[in-house]
Parts: sequence; structure tokens; C-alpha cells
Amino acid sequence: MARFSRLGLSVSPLRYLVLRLLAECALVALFVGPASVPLVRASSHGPVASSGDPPPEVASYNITARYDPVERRILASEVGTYHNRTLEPIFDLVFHLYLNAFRSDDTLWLRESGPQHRGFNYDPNHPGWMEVEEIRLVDGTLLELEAVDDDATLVRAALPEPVAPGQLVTVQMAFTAQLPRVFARTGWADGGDFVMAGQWFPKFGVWENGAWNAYLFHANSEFYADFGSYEVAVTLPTGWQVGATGTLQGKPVENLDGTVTHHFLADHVVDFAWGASPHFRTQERIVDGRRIAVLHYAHQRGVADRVMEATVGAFELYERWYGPYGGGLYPGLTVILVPENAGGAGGMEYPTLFTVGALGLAGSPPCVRFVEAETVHELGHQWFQSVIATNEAEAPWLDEGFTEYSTARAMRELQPGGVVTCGGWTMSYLYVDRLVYRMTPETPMAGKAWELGAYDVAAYAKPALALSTLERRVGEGAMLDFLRLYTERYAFAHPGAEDVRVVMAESLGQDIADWFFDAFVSSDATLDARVVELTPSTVEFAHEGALCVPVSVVLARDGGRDVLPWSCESFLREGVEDLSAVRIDPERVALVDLNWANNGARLRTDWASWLGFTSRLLRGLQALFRGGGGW
Amino acid sequence: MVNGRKALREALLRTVQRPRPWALRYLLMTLPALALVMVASPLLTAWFRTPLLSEALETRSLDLLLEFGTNLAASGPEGAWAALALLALPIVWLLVRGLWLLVEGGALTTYASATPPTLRNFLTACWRWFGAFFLLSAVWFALVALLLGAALVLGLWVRELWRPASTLISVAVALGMAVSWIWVEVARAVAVVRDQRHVFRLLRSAADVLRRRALTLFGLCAAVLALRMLLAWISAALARAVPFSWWLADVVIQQIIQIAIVGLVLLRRAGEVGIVKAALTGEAQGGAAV
Repeated sequence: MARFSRLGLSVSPLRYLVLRLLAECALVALFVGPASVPLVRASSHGPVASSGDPPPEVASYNITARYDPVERRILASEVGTYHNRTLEPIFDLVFHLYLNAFRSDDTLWLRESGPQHRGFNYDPNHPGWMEVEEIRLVDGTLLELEAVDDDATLVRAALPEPVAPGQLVTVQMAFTAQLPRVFARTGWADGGDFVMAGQWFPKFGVWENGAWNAYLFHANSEFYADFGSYEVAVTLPTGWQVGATGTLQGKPVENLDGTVTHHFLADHVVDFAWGASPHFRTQERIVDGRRIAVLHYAHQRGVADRVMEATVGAFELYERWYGPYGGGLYPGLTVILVPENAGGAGGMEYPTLFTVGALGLAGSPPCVRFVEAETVHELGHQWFQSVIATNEAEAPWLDEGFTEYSTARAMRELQPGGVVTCGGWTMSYLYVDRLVYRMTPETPMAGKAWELGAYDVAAYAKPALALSTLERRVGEGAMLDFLRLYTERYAFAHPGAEDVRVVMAESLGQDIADWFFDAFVSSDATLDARVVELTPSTVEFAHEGALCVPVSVVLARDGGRDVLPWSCESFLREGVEDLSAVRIDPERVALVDLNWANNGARLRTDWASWLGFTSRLLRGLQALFRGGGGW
Repeated sequence: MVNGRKALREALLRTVQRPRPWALRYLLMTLPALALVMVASPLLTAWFRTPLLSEALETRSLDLLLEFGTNLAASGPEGAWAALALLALPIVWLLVRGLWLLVEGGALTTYASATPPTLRNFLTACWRWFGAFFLLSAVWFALVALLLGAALVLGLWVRELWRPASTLISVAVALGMAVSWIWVEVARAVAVVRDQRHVFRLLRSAADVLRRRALTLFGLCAAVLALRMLLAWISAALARAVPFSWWLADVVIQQIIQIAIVGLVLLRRAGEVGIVKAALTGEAQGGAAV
């Protein structure tokens, strides 16, 4: 999910605090209610070396869906096949019915969220829900679905016979998915003329280590699913354009009732989403034989150009860094630029498809590149969410954090000036994360998504800063070697945090891996290095907080400068001659240092800068008093 | 016949040959700014013992500037001084804008008279026209409020029906604000040329001049706007090119630009006076084209 979902929160501390307060109230509610109890206990995966192996198809679907733009609902039938590749028999089946989280404003999801998501409000007059009318095994045996929670975001069906290891189970069902007015990634807008169908079909949980890994749908949580093959037929009114996971099979079929059916096929994916509108236009580009399409409204053409450029640029970078797109198995990529009144559906990733527009930045000037950054971020998920496919409920930082780090890195290469370059001033993408991090720095990265006190910090900002700090410590080349090894080894393998640790130790050394995991992942420790005292002959540094990032310090003297390593211990040096200035970590390796302003000191005022400041202050005030831009 | 080019040339001559309004306007803009700077800047010298701030300004890094700004509370009393200065700004701004309006009567009289007025006459004109000009400004603000209100209502109503409506409405509002501003400026010129202070009569006469001399007036405004944009571009380019610590070069370059901007404002005023004079003279002579 886009970090942009939270950008508004990031830059507005007051709003952030209010929302955090709401989130904490929701957490309190969780402790007093039974709803947070997971259905089953998940167990971690062991390392699964899969490089070069064909990815396993575990949960596969054949869905026939018809969208009714008047009722804004999907009527569908689904044939789902689950392949038990474990050594334990399966006694029941578990399905996610995600849309039920939006059935009314007292569901767990909406109680946790506010009820809002990324600043977009839930519309109780246009709720979302899902109903399974019937579910049978292929031999016709009727199964009974039992809701696991009050909201029925998770349902279970007992099986008459267990599914033995290595065996398949196939169920067929009819269901109705009522889409909400666009909210939390999914729904309709424009009176039904725009639809983004995400989390729209009953979806298997993940069977691993003798239990279902499946949680109730929480506000601060995304998804986890097995790989599978999807054959989906979507029927829409004539004239509608549709973008979906996978590839379109043949020409759309015109039906006698004035509708058109579009057939899609997607292999080795963890989800299937589609978006459609009669107003869509399409831009296309072929990159190394892969078709990249951007779907957008006609008036969004300018933004679509920017989205396409960012997609192509980052696509090439990510392939260079992390290996082929889709592990070399995905033939194309679709980007949906959502209309302005459907921002809640923007900034979300699905296999071979992502959406942009969470910030509604259609009119953003070219020097403000948040729409590009949003694009680069969502594209990054194609590697970390779609192919590596970590468990976003149990360890959100493994997907969002690595993606956010990659976004910052890619934006640095694609836009060397920064994400903002207006009037000669620049701002880096990573600094946005730093601003967010500094609001709640005492946050560990590890933990279940809905149990993290500050999800934005734990899942996005802190991992991005921690990984960037690691990069600055070990060097760009070593960091890329580590990431390449990780992405190649765990493609289609659902790794956990311990797997990352193993690869990190193997690639960068055990000491570095231990330091990274102890200092950042499991710890809420913080760091503030500061200059305590500076005289012509004495300098004292202090290190506050238990988080240590080894850096260098510079002692500038009138006749030269000394650069010394500093490993966080107290530092007092006396009897130095002619000290003029000192600086801790001048390269800003420690991106998690809470305050860079107190990292340095001069004995004498920098008069040239002061006069430069004064001159510009004078000019600024003159302009203000002149008024009207001098008109 | 007064065409745009002639109006511009004559206005340029008037502005340069009668520099009193130019000098006064520049001083009115600069002296309060200088006073504030002289109070505020020395209080902030401690900031410039922090290497981060110098680096932020020199490299034009918003990252570092934000870092410094968001840590101001921990950096001593300078932050409080800066906040206090910010609070004082609106008051000083209102005072300066009031003074600027006061000088307007003297400036227009300077450009309208056959010979440059004496200082005494200049000051008398400032006072004489202040009330009427103030009311004209109030009328403009009321017009703008009406325009914005109507645009808001219309925008909300039409937005759902037709998507590009909000863009078109924004353009129309901007255009409406610009035209109404020129209308009010022409009304001021009419006031001085006709020696009349009745606001609604002034607006009616100004509307008549605007209608009859629309091309010339908008030609003048367009030319001045183009020059203003050129100045803005030069200013921005030089601001980027001159290193932050080259303060003397920055002061010289930017003050020349500030003086030029004030000159442009007055160039347009002088041009409007010229056009109004020509239009009203023509009217007196039987409405012939001028």
C-alpha cells in the first residue's frame, strides 16, 4: 500500500496526532474485545531456496464475474482449488471475505480506522459487503460456511474428508460482492462509472505448518496469500475499458445483452484485481518486450505522461537491482490512474497492476514529484509484495519497508535534484520518512500490523531510514549485493524476517546483521548525538538513547581538520589547539539521529551566511510589503 | 490617436523624468523591511554558529532547512524572537499598504500634471485622494468577495455535471479579478484627471474609458506584465546563480531588481493616466477617437 496513504499525516503533525489517538483508542478496544484473536497461529517459514524453480501454484481460481454499474455490485461464480503442499492434512477451508469490513461503521476494521482511511471518509450510505450464496465441493457436496468473527471478514467451512498432503481440494461457489463508494483501496466512484475491484472475491487463507495463517481484516493490515493461477472473466457494459492483473486473452466477447466479457489469465500471482471505466484512455509503452499500460481519464493525460515516465524509469532500475520483473514470468504491467474523486483507490499494489492517485495530485507542478514517487513506490511492490510475497499482516516492514527504501533510492537516481525542486530548493524523498519517523521514533519495526503503535513509522519510515543507514554504513555496492541475493533467493518463497537476517549475515557479515536487527528491527531505541561543549581547546560530545550507529566526527582547527571514528561512547577531548568547529556525522550516515541541528557547532558566527540570510530576508520583506507580486 | 506603444513610451518618460513617486515608493517598501531586518537579524546570529543552517542555505536544501526549523524550539530564545517577528508582520504590512495607498494620489497627480508638482502640492494630493482611493479599494475587495462566492457556488454545482468546469471557473475568476483591478486603477486615474471624488461616478467613467480604450489599456498592461515576468525570471536565475554567502553581490543585484519592479508598477500607473487623459480630452472635444 502506498506510503502516500499517510503522507498527509506525515506532514501535518496535528492531524497525525489526532489519528494516532484514534488508532490507540481502537487498540484499547481490541484488548477488551475478542476480535483481535487470530484464527490460527502462524508459524514462520524456513528458508526456501527457490531460485530457478518454477513457483508453486497453491491457491488457484477460475472466476466469472459480471459488474452491474447501477447497483455497483459484482455477481460472480468462483471455482477455487487449493493444493495442500504441506505434510499436514487440511480439515477445513478458510476464506477471507474482505469487503465485509465495510458492511457498517461498527465493524472491527472501521472501529480501528476511525472510520476513515488516508483522510478519505467511509460513506455508511454506500457500504460494501460480500455474500456467498452457496459453496460446494466439485462432487456436489454442500459445505456450510461459518463466520469466524462478528463481521464475517473470515469464514470457515468444515470438510467431510481431510485433504491429504499433496492432494487438491476444489470448491465452487456463487457470491455477490457489493462494492462500497471508493474506500480503502476498493469500490466505485463517478456514480458507478469508475470501479476498482480489489479484495472482491472469497480468497483462501494460507495453509502452513498444519494451520491456516489467516487473520481478521484489520485497518492497519494488508494481505498474505499463496501463489496461484487465475482465470477471470469480467463482464462489463459495452464501451468500458478494463485493466486487470495478468493478460487479456483474445478479443473481448460481445454478448447479446449489450455487455462485453473480457477474459484474463494470470499465473504465479498472489491476488487478482481489476479496474474499469467507460472514460479510460490508454497509454502504452513496450519495455524489453513487456507491455506497460497506463489507464487514465482523458483530462489526466499530463499526469499519465508523468506516471508512465516514472514507471519506465524505475522499472529499468528495479530490474537492474533486483532481477527481472515478475521473476521473468509476468508479461506486462498495468497502471490505473484513479480519478480525483476516487483517491481512496489510489496508491495500491496488486500483481502486475498498481494504482496511482492517492494524493489527487492532478494539478501538481512539475517541480513537485510526489505523483512520480507514488508511482515508483507502487512499482517497487511488484518485486517485494508480488514476487517475494512476505506476510504483510505479521511483518509489514518486509514489504513496505523494503519498497519504501527502494523508492527513496530510485527517486534519488531518477530525480537527482529531489522529490521537490522548486525555486532552486530541493527536498529528498527520504526526508519525508525522516519527518514521519521523528514523530514517533520509539517504535520497533517488528510486530503484527495492527499491534504496531505507529504503523506508518514501523512499516514505512523507520525501515526506509534503517535500510538507508545500513546502505551508508556498508556502501551502495555491498547493499545492492545483499538485496540482489535476497530478492533472487526468495522469489516466490514467502520469506520471513529471520530469512532476511540470514541473507544479510551471509552478504554483509554476522556483526552487521546482528547490529541491524538488534538496533532497528526489534528495538524501540533512539539516537541523538550532540555537541555538548566547544571551546578553543575542549570539545565534548554526548550520545543519548540506546541506539548506536558508528559514525565519524570532524574537529576543525584553524590550521586543518581531524576526522575520527566515533562509536557512540562519551567523548571529551581537552588540550586541542585552535579548535574552530566540530561536526558529528557530517555525511549524515545516521539517518535515525533525532536531531541533526545539534550535531555541530562553531566557535564563531558564520558572518557571510548571516549577511546572505539578512540580504534575502530584506528582499523577502520588500516583496511582502510591495504586495500583489509587484503588480 | 494613443496606441499602446505610444502610451508606454510616454509613461516611461514620465516615470523617469519625475522620479519622486518612484523614490518614495521604493523607500516606503524598503525602510520598514530594513527596520524589521535590523531588529530581527542580529537576534539570530547564534543560529549561524550551527553548521547545519549554513549548509542548508548554501546548498538550498529543504531537508536541512526543515531539520533546523523543526528543532528550533530546542535551539534557544531565537525561535521565540522569530515567532514574535512573524506575528508583527501583518501589522507592519497593513501600515505599509496604507502608506502606499496614501502616496498613490501624489503619484498620479505627478503623472497627470503638465509640470511636476511641488513637494507641498504632492503631499496635498496624497491627502486629497486618500479617502476616495480607499473606498475604491474597498469596492474592489467587495467585488472580489462576490466573484469568489459566486465561483464557489457555481463550482460546487457544476463540478459533478462537467469535469473541466472547475478549471474554467478558476480562469474566469482570475480574469475577473485582474479586469476589476484595472477598472479600479483607471477610476483612480479618472479621479485625478477630472478632479472628482464621487466613487460611483468614477467607476462609471472608468468603465466608459475601459470600454473605449480597452485595447490600448490591456496592451499597456500586457507589456508591463511581460516585463515583470522577465524581471522575475532574471531575479530567480540570479538568485540561484549567486552563492548564498556572496551577500554583497546579492544585495546589489536584488536591490536593482526591486527598484526596477517598483518602476514597472509606476510605469503602468503613468500609462493609465496618459490613456485616461487622452480619452477624456477626446470626450471633451466631441468624443473623437484619440
